[in-house]
Amino acid sequence: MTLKSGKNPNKILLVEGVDDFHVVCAILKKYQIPETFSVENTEGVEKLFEQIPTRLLQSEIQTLGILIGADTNLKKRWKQLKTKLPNLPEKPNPSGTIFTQGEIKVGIWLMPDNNLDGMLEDFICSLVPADDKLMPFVEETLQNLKDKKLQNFKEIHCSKAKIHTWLAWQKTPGTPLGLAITKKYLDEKNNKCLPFLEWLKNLFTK
Amino acid sequence: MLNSLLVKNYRNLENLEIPSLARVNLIVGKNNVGKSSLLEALYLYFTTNENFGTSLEVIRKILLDRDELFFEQKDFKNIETFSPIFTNRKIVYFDENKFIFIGESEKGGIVISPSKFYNVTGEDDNFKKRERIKNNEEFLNLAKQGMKIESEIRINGSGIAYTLNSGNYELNYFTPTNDLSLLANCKFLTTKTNSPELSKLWDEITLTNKEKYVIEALSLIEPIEGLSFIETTERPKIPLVKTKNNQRIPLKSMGDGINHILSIALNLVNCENGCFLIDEFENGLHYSVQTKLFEVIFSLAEKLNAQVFATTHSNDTLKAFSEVINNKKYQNQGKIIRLENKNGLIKHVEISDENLKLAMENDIEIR
Repeated sequence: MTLKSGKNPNKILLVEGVDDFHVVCAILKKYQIPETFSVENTEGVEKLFEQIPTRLLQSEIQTLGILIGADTNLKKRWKQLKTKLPNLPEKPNPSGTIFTQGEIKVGIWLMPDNNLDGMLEDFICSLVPADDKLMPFVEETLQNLKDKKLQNFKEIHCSKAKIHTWLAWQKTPGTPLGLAITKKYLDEKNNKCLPFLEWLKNLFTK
Repeated sequence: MLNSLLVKNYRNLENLEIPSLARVNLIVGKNNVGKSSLLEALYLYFTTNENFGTSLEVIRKILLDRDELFFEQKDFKNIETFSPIFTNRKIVYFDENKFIFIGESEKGGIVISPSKFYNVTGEDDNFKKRERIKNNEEFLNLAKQGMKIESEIRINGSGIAYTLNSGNYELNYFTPTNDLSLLANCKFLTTKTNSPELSKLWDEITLTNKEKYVIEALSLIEPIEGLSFIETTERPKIPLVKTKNNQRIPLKSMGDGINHILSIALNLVNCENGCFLIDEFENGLHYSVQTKLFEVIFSLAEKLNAQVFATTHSNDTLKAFSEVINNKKYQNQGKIIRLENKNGLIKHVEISDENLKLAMENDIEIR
């Protein structure tokens, strides 16, 4: 089942996975952003790319937002997008890219911040309160694993391991990313979140 | 077969260009974007080669189906009868850019042109010539001189003429029209009145191989061995079928779906080397039958060298169509035509087979 939220089928934000979906929905709820658009999970980044041309043909579509991870190579990601969206600017805008393709307003946000390589989890890590007491222990533990050659995951997934370890040590261990925002473990008032919200506002409400 | 289409000034299709067409075409789009108008335009195009009487009868059917023919409009007594088929319901004289055009491209097609003429008496008094009036200025001048002026709706080379009589343009002489049900190889199946009588269509193909095609199509719903039309006290004749258990039962008793399939099959087999137009394909058909019916339509259309255009509002129909055109056997034989209203102008949006497939898989709305 594809996850869909929102009532307006003419303004859509595509996300690449279930965590991204729940995080976005939680942020929207937290900031009481009106449901002027729908969020849809494409279940994979490949599928998201595959869908772009058809989305541009969708009946009465006005706005298409795309939220994806920059992953290991932001430049490569941008090139991939360019093949599907010819009007894409040369470089990502640090405050989120917005342009028009045909008559459709298109927005791109590259997780975490349109500048660094990374993904959703890097963005979430940046929302951990600055004075958090547990995070130094998480970091130490992960460093320990690495030193003892016990790190099974790839380097790019460090932030994934970090945030999920941190969430495993909260009051309710193993809270999913979206719920962590709802439950206030994460500091969504953190100003790292603001540029993303601003981008959403510019894309969907203006 | 039409490979592309250009329609100008026909109803709300002010300037519609469709760069490529296939053997079987499915037209989608919101209400009031001109799906039925497009079928009508195609109907006019495919029947105009016959003769002027036929064209008039085609226009009559088109107007009747939309309740646009009543009172003094009947029998084309008033020139305004024609106004609904023009953009903005307005007959504009002298301006070529406002004439109705329907054709494959600019190069050739049918032109419906409202024109005005006056009679010139030559040097020899017996010699009378009609002259076409070029513009409004000339018309006003001639009218001032009290010249007798005729207005005409011309379809390609022939026209139907009206004379101004106390403020109204009245018909000069009656042009005989033709019975459309016997019209060669272009059929228009609408949900409304005036569809060709099925028994007549059956008579056209009886004792030919085409009988078999019709029975095969009906058997999509229930195995059937034979079909016949019988006379009743009330017209029209009613279709009876012979079932596998040798029973004779009226087709109507088997539900709306099978009757719709009979209409589609009978019309299509009468369109050899021509064109078949269906308004609202899905009418009364369950999703599971639609895929099979499309397969029948694709294979018959190819066998009979006919082109098919259908409209739909149903996502099930779109899904069934997508399944069939993604089958290798029917590759490149089908095409989606989506009409869209862009700031008041009706445009065509190209949707590839691949995009259609993706849209169906991911539940993306492309109707």
